[in-house]
Amino acid sequence: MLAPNLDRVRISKTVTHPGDFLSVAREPNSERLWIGHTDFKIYTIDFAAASPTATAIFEGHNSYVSALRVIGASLVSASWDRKLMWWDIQNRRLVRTVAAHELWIRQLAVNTAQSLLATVSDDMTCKLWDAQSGRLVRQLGGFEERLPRYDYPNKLFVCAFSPDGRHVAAADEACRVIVWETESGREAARFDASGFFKADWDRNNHPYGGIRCMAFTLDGRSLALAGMENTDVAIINGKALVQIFDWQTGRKNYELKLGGNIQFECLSFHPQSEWLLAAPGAGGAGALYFLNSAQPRVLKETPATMQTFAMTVNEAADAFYTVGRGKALKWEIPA
Amino acid sequence: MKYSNILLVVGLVLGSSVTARAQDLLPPDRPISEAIDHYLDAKLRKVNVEPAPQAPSTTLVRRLYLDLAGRIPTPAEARDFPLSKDPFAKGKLIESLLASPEFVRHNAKEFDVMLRNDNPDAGSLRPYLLQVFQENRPWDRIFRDLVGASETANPTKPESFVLKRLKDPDALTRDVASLFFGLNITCAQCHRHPEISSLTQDYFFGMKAFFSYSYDFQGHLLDRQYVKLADFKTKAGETRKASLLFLSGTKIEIDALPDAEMTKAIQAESKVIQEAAKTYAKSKQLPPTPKFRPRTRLAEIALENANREMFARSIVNRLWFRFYGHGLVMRVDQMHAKNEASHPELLQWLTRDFLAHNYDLKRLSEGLVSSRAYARSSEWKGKEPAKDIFAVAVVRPLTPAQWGLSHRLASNPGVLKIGEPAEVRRKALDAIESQLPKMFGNLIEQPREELQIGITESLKLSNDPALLKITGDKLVPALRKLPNARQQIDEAVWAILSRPASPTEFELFGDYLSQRKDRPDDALQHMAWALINSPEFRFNH
Amino acid sequence: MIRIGPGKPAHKMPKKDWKGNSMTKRIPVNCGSPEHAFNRRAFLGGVGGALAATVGLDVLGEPLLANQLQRQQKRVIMLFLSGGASQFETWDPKPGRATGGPFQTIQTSIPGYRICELMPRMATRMHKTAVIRSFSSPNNEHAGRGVTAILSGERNDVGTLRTPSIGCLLARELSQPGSLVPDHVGLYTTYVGFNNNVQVDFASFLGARHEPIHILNGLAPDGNQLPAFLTDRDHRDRETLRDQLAQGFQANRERDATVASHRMAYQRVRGLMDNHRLFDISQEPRTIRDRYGHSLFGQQALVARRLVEAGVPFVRLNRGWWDSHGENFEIHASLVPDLDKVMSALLEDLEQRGLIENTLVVTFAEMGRTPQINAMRGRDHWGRCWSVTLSGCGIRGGVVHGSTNADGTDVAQDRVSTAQFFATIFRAVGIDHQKEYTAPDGRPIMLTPYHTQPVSAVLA
Repeated sequence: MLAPNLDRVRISKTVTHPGDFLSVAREPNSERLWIGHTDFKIYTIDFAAASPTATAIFEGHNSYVSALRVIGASLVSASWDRKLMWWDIQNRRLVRTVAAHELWIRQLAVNTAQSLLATVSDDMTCKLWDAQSGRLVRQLGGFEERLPRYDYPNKLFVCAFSPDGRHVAAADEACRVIVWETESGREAARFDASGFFKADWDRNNHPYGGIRCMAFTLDGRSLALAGMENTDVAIINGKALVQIFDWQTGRKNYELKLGGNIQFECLSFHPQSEWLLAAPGAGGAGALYFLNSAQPRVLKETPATMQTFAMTVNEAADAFYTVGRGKALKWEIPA
Repeated sequence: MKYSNILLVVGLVLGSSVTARAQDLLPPDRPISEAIDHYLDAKLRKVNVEPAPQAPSTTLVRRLYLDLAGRIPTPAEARDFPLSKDPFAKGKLIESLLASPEFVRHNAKEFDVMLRNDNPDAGSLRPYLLQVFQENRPWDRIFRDLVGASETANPTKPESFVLKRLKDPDALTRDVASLFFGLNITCAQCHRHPEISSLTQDYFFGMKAFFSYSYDFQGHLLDRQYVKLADFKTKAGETRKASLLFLSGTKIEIDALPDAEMTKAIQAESKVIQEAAKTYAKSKQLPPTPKFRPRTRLAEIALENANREMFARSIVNRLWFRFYGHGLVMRVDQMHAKNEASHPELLQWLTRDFLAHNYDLKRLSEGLVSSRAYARSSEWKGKEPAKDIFAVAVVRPLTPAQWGLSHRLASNPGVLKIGEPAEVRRKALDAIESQLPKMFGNLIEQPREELQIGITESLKLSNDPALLKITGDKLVPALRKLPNARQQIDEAVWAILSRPASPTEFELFGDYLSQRKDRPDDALQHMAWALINSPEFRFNH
Repeated sequence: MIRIGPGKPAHKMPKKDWKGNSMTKRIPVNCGSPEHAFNRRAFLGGVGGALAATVGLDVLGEPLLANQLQRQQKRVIMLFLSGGASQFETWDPKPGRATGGPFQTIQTSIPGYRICELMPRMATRMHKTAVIRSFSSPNNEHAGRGVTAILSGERNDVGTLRTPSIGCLLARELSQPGSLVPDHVGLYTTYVGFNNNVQVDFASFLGARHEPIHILNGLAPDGNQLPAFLTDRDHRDRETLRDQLAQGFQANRERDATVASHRMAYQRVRGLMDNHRLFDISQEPRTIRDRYGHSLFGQQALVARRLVEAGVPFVRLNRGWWDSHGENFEIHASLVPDLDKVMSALLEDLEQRGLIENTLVVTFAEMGRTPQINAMRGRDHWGRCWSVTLSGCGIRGGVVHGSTNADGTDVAQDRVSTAQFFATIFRAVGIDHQKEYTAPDGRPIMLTPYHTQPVSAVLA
């Protein structure tokens, strides 16, 4: 069988829908997507259909649906309304609502074993939850509540599990990264990335930036972080930025600045680490970048055609799905 | 396109209500200064007011330097004149100041501010003004240049006067009428002028129409051939068509195309302009110029024999205002028939003289500063006389440019040397002036009527370390070299106030210095500060 | 004669100039009657002349004097949300609409009125504040003509004449004779909006006396402190020396108001320096400082309170920079809680000191933000409908005036123009919004254009 050829990557199906699709989860080994929207609803699209459409299925959140994960027969959603919701996919009903955080939930991650969920919120905590029961397992902290100067609230944007599930990491607005041992809750490492954040006191007098997405490498030893190179005005006008750190030492061993007027908001490793896919979110529509995962260079870039807020790569890595402003796309990487 | 002039008889907007017959005026061959004193003295006698005496010669020298060179005299220059026994010394000083390149520089600054007319869109015309004052270009030609009615292109772009204002045609109309004809017609934008019933909205829109054809093509001021003049609504609600109407009542009739054809013609012309814009970068080709050029026409009408007196009166009055602190007609942009001059015959005489001498601004300036009236003291005891009898000199705040330059000269009296070559002097002044924005920024406000000096100025001058450092920076070390306090005081007062110290000042500063004998640098710096921050320095008195 | 103003006789205006001299000849003007010429002199000269009391010199240490001031003088603090704060993320949220954004709403102390969840403190005290949700202005820019216009009341009756901004008019109208504290202080958190004077107050023909003293990115004005290389004694002696020269010069030039203003300006220097404690918030108890928070805006607000307490009639706090073309929600998540904290602390503090009855606190900006959320998750410039608030002096709390439609794309009820808003501000502090004065070109103009109606619903 021939390997997928990045030069042939193309959009094969497009579903349009007004507003912004913010989050996505895919049922394993299928083309059925669950997508969270700014209209507070959760939609489904079956890209296996000849003419797929987006259908609103679950309603219950009171704000943007910021993250989704499929866990067995359940779908778990997280929202700016501070709640986690468990939905029964088969019977299309709400199973459980958990008032999870004191402020907006920004991200939701699940470990490979699907036993644990991690959430991060602007209440500056990372919480681990029993994926089945919704029980709080552990609360992880250590981030500053306020930014270093002038009393602004800090924000906690992203979290991720290591592939072996032994570690969970989170990163805040000021680019602090903390890695904990999942089992013990003990802090395993912390380091500060730089370049993503601008504490712009004189001109705008507010902070700007932050790490917007992260992913562990397959060997679990490194953490890829992405966002935008800091900028001094309140528009997205910098270059998209990716850095990869050896998280145990805090040493940066990879950095790429790409494009202009874009910010990376999603990041996925190829299942065998053949590439790292980064997509631009808010800002100019920009390009999708397939990056060499070991050396800082671009393997392939292709127009993203929209602001991409979330994506998911299939098991064979010959197809992936991006969702964002007004659209959900199926991409194929033919051999 | 055909056009013709029609003289409307609805009444003249401009002009004087009292017009003396030419033979009743003082003969034209008298010196300007003599005419001034003749008419002013007559009025003073009539109202029975004894004018203030002539200012001390040091005050007069300072006044002349500030008015003609834009700066205080150096101590050497200040000392030079009172020592002279020459009865013609004053005339010689005026002559030499007017002949100096410093007059050109200062005059350019003054006109630049005047021509800006507080319009935020207006840019600086300094390079142009430097050029024309160098050659003493007559005012009528300057007017043509500024409204873009000259045949020859000038690389210093005087027409940017219009070009920069095109985005706000109402303000452009106001500025042209007010600067060149002495009449702010803004109120006629919405209603009749309250005091001149003949000044209807037709005049505002009529004046505006002369500029309605103008457009900015890649930085060039051009005219369209086809324009639909916008209708306007009168206060009564009537819709009227604007036409080209000069303030004198001269109307230019244009055979306008019928509406539908006009719309087509405008579209076609716009297309030609757009096409030309596309290729301009390579071809440098301008769109075709129409035969009828309204701005040129405006200049022609304004300078016709019947109208040129109005044009001349305005600048005569504005220059009078500049040197005397109060216009013969107040305000300078309200020169209409119902607003009589304080000395109508004098204004008429000066205007006639200005026209007879080909709009010569320098000659007029020389005459204005040569009178006894100009040289009066600004001190007055008792009940203040009316400003419009010119019995006492008006105290005028320095402009930011005068103040900044004078501050530097006072703080560094050796920077200009008597008799140095013009080129050396020019470089020295360039060097000083280039530092002024950074040193002083907007510290000093541009004078205007009833200026109120704010606390920001006094606070910064009192406490800003950077400003304190440059206050008397070179003067203090020079004073230190003098053998005794008396000489130090005398020299400081000469350097800063351009006059000898008074007995009171010798005493005042003498005490101050002697109490600080242990730290003479501080004491001298405080003395320099007190002098530079005194009102005597801040004003042209 | 055609009058722009009402036919009200100017009978209140003395036919004397500022020093009491009778005026015998008027200067002809652009449009106007003889009364206007006198009127103008009164307007310009009415305050600067007298040098009687030394009001405000040490009121912070003198509760009695402070009480006296409280009774006498009205003051205004304007919180200017520079760059344009979003009405959706503050006073006029539209939860669940496409234009609404992610934030939820919270119930306020006004039944039926909910505001953005980012303002929990203000929510509990909205019954003491009036909100106008239907403010509407043509301005969509940070700089230029539109901003000049909105700051001076978006007049449609003055043609090309440049009239003073609201801050300078208030500073002028509320100033006290002989006050040695400044009339007008402008504090800026950022230099955007300040540079090139794009958003600063302008006195135009009122003169520099009413221009603000600017404090940029700090808590005290430049030049307020004794220079390091001068002793206090030297500073005073030096000024005495200068003033003696001034007296000599002025003796026979008393007639000139500009010369008099020069002397006054120097006399005010010591007044301001002696009041350097006004700008020193370390004089405040820890609890108060904590209440305002430690953002620059919070610290500047505390300075503002100290200033109005000492009798400064107008203080503008320019809190920037809200221009959230990108990441609107992140920027508002940072800035709105700070606004909530600072504004509620300021109002509470003014209340506790008995100052609120005579101090009006206004929120204003050059514009609001678009309903549409752009591709940068931002909101762009929007003048058509946004919100302003009024609290304290002369205001009926708990009023929510006007509304926007479901998506916040236009005014639904009771549009309020800038002129009406300014008229409301003038009325709230006891100034006749139709008070007439005369521009330099002689035309009579009123504080707000003829026929402007204040929003009486929000007035006490």
